[in-house]
Amino acid sequence: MTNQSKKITLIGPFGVGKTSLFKRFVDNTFSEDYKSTLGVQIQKKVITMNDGSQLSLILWDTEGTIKVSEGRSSYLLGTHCFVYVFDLSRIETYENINTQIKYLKEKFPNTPVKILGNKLDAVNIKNVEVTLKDLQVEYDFLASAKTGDKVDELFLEIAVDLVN
Amino acid sequence: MNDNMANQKRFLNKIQLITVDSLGEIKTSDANLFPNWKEGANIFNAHPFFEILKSLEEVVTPLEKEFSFSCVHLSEERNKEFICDVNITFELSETHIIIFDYSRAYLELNKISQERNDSIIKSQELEFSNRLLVEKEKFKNNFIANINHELSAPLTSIKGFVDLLEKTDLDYEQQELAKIIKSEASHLQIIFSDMLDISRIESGEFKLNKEIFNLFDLIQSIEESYKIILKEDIVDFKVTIDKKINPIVFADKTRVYQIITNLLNNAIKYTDEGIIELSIFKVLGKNRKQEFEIIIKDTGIGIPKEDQEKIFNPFIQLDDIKSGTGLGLYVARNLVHLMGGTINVNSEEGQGALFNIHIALQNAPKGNEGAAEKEYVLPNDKKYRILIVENRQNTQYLIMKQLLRHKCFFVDVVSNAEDAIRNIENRNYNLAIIDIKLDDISGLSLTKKIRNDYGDAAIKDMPIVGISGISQSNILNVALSAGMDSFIAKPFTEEILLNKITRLLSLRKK
Repeated sequence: MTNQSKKITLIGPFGVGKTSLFKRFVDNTFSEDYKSTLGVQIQKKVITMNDGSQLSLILWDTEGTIKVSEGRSSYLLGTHCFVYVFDLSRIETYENINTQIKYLKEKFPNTPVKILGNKLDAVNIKNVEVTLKDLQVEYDFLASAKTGDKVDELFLEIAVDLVN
Repeated sequence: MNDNMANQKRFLNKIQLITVDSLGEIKTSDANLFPNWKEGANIFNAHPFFEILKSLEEVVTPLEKEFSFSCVHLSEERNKEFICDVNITFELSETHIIIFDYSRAYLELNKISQERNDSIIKSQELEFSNRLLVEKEKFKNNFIANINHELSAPLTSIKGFVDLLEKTDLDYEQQELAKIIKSEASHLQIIFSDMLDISRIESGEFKLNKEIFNLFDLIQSIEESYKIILKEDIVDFKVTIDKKINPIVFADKTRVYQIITNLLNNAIKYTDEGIIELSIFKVLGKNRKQEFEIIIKDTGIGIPKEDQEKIFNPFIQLDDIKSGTGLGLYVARNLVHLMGGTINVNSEEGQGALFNIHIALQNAPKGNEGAAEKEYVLPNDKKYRILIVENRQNTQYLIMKQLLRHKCFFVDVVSNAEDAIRNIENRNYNLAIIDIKLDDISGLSLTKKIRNDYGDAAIKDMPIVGISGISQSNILNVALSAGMDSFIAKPFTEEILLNKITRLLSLRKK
């Protein structure tokens, strides 16, 4: 029995793998082909919590924009948790991430933001960690939609946080 | 009229109007786009997008009760997907939803954005990969440089202490063991040095450090070293130097040395008997540069035609039995290229090999030729008799003092050309130092007389060093044209003087 629903909005630059994360979590599928997202696609995934209750996660997979402010602002309305996704193999997607996160937190002070670096499978993590440290990028997860690494963990952590 | 109605119908087919109550039940719907979203159905079951109604209820106010969502992907289960704009208006007990189907327009737009994104993503990924490669290369180079630095101190100690050990009272077996340790330590040092050079060359960080030096001295020191190295082998070593060469050059001495010795080491590695020859010729002389041909020829195992290009690649050795890293020729070729030269090999299997280098080195800037004189080895086999022809007493005294201090020279001093001729005719001199500006005839004329008027080789071939305070720019060439073997500009240091003298004496010995 579904008790409540929560909106999770995936945002971030284009090509970082938001749709791939979305599909990996919802359908457990992955495709190497990049197909850019226009607008927003929305899906629901119902998960069962430890107490037996059910939670509907309404996932909004938005089109990529370099700056959050350039995106369609209506997509952000009513969000319970943002997931800001960047691509570990493209520095341009995270070199200004702190400015984007700051903007988001100013606009939505009560909405949590999870920061996730995707495409962990495509990089040497030791090299990238140095760059992330140099740029003072603080992240919550380094994941791979391709391998599924840390994808479920991300959404389950969000679910637990939102319920609590 | 019919057309208008058709257009209106087509337009209405692109829009769906829905009214829902506060629980999400559809009260009215024209079902133009999504037939199943009709009266009695629940909007929350129609599509997860409509869950937004619950969230928006929390933020709706009398002033802000209309919300627009553009470009939303909507579909009924297993049916065609529409890309729509959705307007939502909250009223007191009802919510009005208008869905506009703009699928065709949006899909066109998507094609453009797909192409743009593809191109940007590929270029950014490439840039990132390049950046990582550069960082990786930098790390590797620093690592090799640090390792090389750390190893150089212990290696120098090993070699130094083995040198000392060799001078103690060792039996034959101990001497042989000490020799092996020394040789292996030298080998290790060369490997690390080659690795460091390669990493710098490949990363583009390698820089040539030019200095003024004497090419003859360099070749002579190579000759002496390799004669020692080869003294126990049954391989002869022969050096030929073109006397037309102006030996004072402005180039990277260490790297010129490295090029030649890397090729000699290679020749030694593959030559078990016969001869290794090092020759250096002047091919072309311009005002500022001289082009040299350096030939290293051996009678070793030779290189098959098909392998001749491969030997300049790193880590290639034609004979695995031979020791070494296979880096020497690779380093040599890169250094020659860095100096703007060429290197080629001619060889046939079993017929030895001939390495041929063409390289242009800059002449030393005028007036700086003396700066090359830094090292000299005093003769210790016998005493040499030197004649000083100098009209100034202070200079006579200075040169005498500089020479007599070393106890390997007898020195006679005269003040003019007439006395000089008399002395030369009466006594064999190993070398003469002649001032260009004398009182009676010039030192240049005196030199021409010595070279041309005597049949006795001991006189006419006597090495002559010219000295002068004349600041004429081509004075060196003038002196050499007159028949002098070398020239020193005043003022000069003891080192410069001894260097010139010892070099000429040593060439004469050959």
